[in-house]
Amino acid sequence: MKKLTKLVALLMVLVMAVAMLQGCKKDDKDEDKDVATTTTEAAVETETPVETATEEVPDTAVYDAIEDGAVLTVWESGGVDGEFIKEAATQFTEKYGVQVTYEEVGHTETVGKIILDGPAGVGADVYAAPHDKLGEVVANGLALENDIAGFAEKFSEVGIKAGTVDGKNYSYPLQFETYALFYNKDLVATPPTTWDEVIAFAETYNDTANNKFACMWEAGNAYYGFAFLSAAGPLFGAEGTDKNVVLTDTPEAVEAMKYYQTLRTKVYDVPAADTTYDAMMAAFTEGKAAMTLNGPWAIKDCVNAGLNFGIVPFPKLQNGATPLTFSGIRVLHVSAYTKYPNAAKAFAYFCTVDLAQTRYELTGGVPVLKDIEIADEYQAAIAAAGDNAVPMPSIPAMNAYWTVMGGIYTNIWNGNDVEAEMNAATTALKSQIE
Amino acid sequence: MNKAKKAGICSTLFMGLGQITVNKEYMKGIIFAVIEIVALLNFKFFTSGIRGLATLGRVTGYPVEEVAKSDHSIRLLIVGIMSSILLGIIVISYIFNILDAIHSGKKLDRGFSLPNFKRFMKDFWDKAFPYIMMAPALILVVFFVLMPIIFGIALAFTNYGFPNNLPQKNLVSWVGFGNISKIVKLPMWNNAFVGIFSWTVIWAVLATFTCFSGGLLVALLLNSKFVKYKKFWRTIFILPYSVPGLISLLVWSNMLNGQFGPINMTLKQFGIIDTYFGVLKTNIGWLSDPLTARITVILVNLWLGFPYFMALLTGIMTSISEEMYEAAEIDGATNIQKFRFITLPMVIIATTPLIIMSFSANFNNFGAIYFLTQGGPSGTYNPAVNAGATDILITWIYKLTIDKQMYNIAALMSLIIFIIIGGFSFYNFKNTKAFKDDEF
Repeated sequence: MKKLTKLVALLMVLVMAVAMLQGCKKDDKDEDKDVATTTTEAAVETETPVETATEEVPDTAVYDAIEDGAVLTVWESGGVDGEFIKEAATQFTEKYGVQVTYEEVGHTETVGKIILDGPAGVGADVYAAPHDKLGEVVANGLALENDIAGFAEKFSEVGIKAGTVDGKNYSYPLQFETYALFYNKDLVATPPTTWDEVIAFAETYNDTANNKFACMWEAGNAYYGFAFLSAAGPLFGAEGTDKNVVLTDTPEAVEAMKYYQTLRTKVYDVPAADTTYDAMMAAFTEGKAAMTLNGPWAIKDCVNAGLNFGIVPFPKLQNGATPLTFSGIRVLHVSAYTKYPNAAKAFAYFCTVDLAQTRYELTGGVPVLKDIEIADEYQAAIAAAGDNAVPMPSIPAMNAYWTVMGGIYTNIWNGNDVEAEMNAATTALKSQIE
Repeated sequence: MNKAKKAGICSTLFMGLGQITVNKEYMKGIIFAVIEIVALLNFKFFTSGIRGLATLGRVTGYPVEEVAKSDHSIRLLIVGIMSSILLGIIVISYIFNILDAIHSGKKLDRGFSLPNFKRFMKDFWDKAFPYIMMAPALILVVFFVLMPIIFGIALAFTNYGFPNNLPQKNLVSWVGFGNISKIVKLPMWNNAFVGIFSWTVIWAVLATFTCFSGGLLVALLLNSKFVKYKKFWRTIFILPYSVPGLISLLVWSNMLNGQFGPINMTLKQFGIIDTYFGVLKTNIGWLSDPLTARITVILVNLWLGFPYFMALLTGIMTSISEEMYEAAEIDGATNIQKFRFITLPMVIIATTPLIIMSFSANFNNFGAIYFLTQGGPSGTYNPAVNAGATDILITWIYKLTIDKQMYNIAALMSLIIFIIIGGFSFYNFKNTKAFKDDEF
């Protein structure tokens, strides 16, 4: 009897050990199957391939260099952005015989994922990312340089500048976004062009007890906050690459922030922690807030709410200074770990240049490629607001800006002494940037 | 020279040699020899592993095109730890091999004969059966529990972090106690660490205490014979526990919005908050005022956490013998005395281990803080350390790793938490009655 118990125990342990080893074994077969199913899936989904750029023969040099037997994996968010990649993958496979697999990875998460997956050899060959991750991308060496001749001339300057570090372009820009002033046409007859006008409007409109505010935005968010600080100039120098220009140590910055502080009492008298995006969207779509600071991502929600609204550029600051708004560019990167760099580059080029019109029609994202016609009123307004936009600096020092300034804008908004806060900001930024 | 000495020396020279040449235990000797041969064949794995562990890589990944060929410090660290563990196992079997040779030699010296291999294996099998059965689990523990812990501890002594020490483009290197001295010496980090640490302890104590006493109070009420419809009340009270905490917390964070949240709006409608006539002149900054926000997180956590203790304590109270209360009544004890001397000691003894576990869980209660306030409001600490008034260590670690990629500082914090929680739990478990009776 005892022997039997031992035998059973031994058997169980063996089964466990085998199961453990099985788990460790890499399953190659499954992966192959994955590629096959995704491509067929993509093929079924698009019955009528959109004809694009057929008259204008693209630079064939990019496509001539594609390696034989190349297979690509692409990471992009789900939704319309993913639909576009599926569409592009089908067309690319049709034209150049390269199998492209699309995997859904949120575009803000791709960089964090490629850091681990790239060296392990399981990462994507091409991945989408917001351009401001570029500092991280270059610091970690995650992307190959975009060395395609004549690439930059095809795009608007802001798009190329956003993808460049030390004169080297690492990106293939897809679309553009920046924030602007959304206003309710039923409440605001003529949209304000300066913040003084907003303050004047607030004097008659605001009713704090009933949550009626002239203009609402996330007051402690360093993304919007920068536009107010920008009276002191662009962050990190004109090119956004000089880490020593932190702005906060100038008298202009103190001036600008003092003006920002007055907006608390005059326009939107709510502590920063309570100025949430949800509260803002609810008030704006209900018609309680006359204006908000928001970006193209909110257009759909506002349209769906049946709101009669318009979009104008960010109002001018005190003394008529033109604000600079942060802009974000969605880009594709070619992974530094790809086995087929030429095919990957060709696919990124295909998506951003050949299929730019298709992408705009499919996703509605404001394109960066020149000569694309924007039909939609709101998207055109965002594109126009882009005239005063600067790409969010993507140098590593930007990380310090986000960390430090979120707290600083909050503290200033909550009534702390501006000079003391700006001194604290300068010390903190400098200590982080070194 | 006697056989014990000879066999010992031979086995020191090469594993299994003593067994084969002196003691004539061929099978055993061959097994030992095979272990050494395998180890020697993989000599490079161990040397490069140890070297990688010591240097954390030498070839940088610059320019970008060269990245794939360069050293990845963090992978070197992991491989290094792995090879050290394997090397440790080999060293242990090497020592065992020498001891075994001497042991057998001594037996021969005294004139005993050695058991043959079959016999030896049978004895070994009988004696070591539990260990053999536990081996797979032990291997799992070593590689899936011990290794990550060692890895985490090792990170605390490197400079792995943004912006200059991220692999694979850059190398990570050992900095010894550099991170610790940074926390101790730099006032900015020092302030934040002391502040967040003490708040974490206060939070953990208060969160556990409020949930326990809240649960106890409700359980007592439910147990009282004056309460009607007990099942109905119990169902109502257990509800917060049955909704996923994440959802409740996100709802709470909207409800507690100082300007637009329904709670303050209701207070306003009742005239409690009114600029001129109200009891309160301004909105309550549930999430925007540092002190109020700290009270808020404790209250919301009470709402989330009391049902657990209520259910637990109701169960324990029903198991307390009715006779004790009857005897107490005969002795003339009041209700308060009955509670003080019968109910309370009984439930405390039964729940002490759970209270300790609840304390440890609250010490690391990420969700209750992060989903409610994201650690805010800011303004309590230096803006450079990325922490707010309600941040506890674990949420701070999360922000440092996810937002700032400061893995080294975060690893150091984890190490501190590990030491505190580990030490505290160990001490308490050892001194808890409910565990003392156990063999453990």
